[in-house]
Amino acid sequence: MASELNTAIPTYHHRGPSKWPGFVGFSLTAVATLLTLGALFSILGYLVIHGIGAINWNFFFKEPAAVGEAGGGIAPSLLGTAILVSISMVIGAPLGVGVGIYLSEIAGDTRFARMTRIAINTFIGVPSIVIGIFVYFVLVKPTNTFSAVAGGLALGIIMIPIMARTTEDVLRLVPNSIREAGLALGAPQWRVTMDLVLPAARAGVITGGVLAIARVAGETAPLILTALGNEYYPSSLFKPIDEITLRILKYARGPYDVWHQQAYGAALILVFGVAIGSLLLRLTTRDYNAPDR
Amino acid sequence: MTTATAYAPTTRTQRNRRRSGRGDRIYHAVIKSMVCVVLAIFTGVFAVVVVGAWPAMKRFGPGFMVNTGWDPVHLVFGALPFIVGTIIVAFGAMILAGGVGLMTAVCITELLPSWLQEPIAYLIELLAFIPSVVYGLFGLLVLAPLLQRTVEVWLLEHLGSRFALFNGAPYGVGYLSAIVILAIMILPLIVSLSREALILVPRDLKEGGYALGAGRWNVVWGISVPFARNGIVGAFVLSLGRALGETIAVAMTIGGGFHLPTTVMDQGYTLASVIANEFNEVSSDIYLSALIYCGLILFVITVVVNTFAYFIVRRMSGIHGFRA
Repeated sequence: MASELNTAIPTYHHRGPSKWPGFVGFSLTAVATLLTLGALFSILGYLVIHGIGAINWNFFFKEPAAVGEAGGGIAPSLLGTAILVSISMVIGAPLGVGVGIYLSEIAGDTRFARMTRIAINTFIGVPSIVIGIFVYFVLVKPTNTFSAVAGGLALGIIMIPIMARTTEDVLRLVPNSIREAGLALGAPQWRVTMDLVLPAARAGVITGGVLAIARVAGETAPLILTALGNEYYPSSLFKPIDEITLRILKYARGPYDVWHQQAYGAALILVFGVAIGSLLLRLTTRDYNAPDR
Repeated sequence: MTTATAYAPTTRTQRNRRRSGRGDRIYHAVIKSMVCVVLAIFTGVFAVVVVGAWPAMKRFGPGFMVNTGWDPVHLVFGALPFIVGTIIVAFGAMILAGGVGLMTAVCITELLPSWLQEPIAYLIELLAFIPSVVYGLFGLLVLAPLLQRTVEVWLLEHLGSRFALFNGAPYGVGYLSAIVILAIMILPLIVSLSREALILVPRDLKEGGYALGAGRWNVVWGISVPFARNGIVGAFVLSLGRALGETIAVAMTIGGGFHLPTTVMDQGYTLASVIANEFNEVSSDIYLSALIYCGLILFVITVVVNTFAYFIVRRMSGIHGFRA
């Protein structure tokens, strides 16, 4: 610490601080902040301005219109998104929460625990398209068809490390005294985890789930390799299925203004949903931090 | 800080007592088997990608990574243009976003009044929640045409004759658009992680600086930033990992092309975006395998970068409780 101080402070004390570099410097940081916020607001602004016109009753409840024609909606995509996210929850949530419980409650500092932790942290950063390749070879190629199940599996695998990390984080915020109180009463560890620790962290775990849903609902790349997308209402879990980001991708790349407008509209809905998820996360984690810190 | 340490049995008696319960044995078995399943999936992902890339690896060998030429008709494949493209796009985005992101983090933690810090930080975090396809949409329909009309024309007219780098046709979509859109995407990550590192600088240290007569600016760059450097470097490396692997937004804005770029306006591909855009065009097994080979290269690169970031960040977490 002392050495850091020595190197950190040159000889300002005999000159007195100069105000100029500070003024210029902080002005630059303010400009940088405005740039960052400007990027955010221009994206949101464009979505609202161009997308709001697309959003109406039909947009939510109709199938896509014939190519290039006005009207029609994205109902199949919304339904498909719900189905894909549900499948991914079935796969990702239990495994993610399980690993989170392991890391927080059981692991300690064994070799296996360290390995798991590194694996989780590494896998959060693995590009989602790689997961798509995996599912393509495991499920799409053997069954010879793109399918909702394949898309859900890919999203579920992407969800696992995210859920594991948020679960570990919120479980660690539960005070140790609660665990000790349970153990002192003679409860076995599994009862302590299930009846005391998890309920105490319930809101956090649920919000972690919401966050993970928000993350995977915005995934596109792995779905190109697994769910593929189509134009109709989903008829079977073992057939190609549409998803909102696939629809945005298709419409954004299309040549028609109607498509572009609907892409903006769909993006607006998606961002709105995801923003609500993030707001929830923000509010619940604040609840946690307040009494703890 | 006590609540943040893992709950783990420490003494032998504790461990023995816990082991004696049958419920706990089942509980441990269930949880551990879940962990094993997850680890097996992770290993499986790697194994499957290697198996999928194997035909191309056998046929093209490691030369795949240094060869150019991508010809699905004559089945000649080399991934060098995509590797170069990945590096250019990722580092270009880092250069644009790194300085702005760090300055923004400094502004939020050191300049803004405390009641404004959280809301601004939240707004910037909101950028991180915008799905990448939305960035792609914005890049393709708004940013690329904008760059085409303004920046690219300016670059071509004023610098094009002197620097070959800027002497390209202003298409709009291309490397420049991809770099800018990717920079916007990684900004919030850089800002929020750098901010977390800066917040952890002890107050005493900064007050010591002020007491010695340093100005606010000098305290920021002489004390806060050097103290938080591990966290900041970790933030940059994690963001680089994100940038290297970003797929859809880049695929939508980079235009597509199989040759090495010569100008910033060129169109091309990164490792991730070539898979996304060409996957549904594959005409032969070896073409598919070559794409998977690209995925394998990408996989290895991002795992190395992320592991590196993990250890940098963990070196800090030991002392300061920093978590990225």
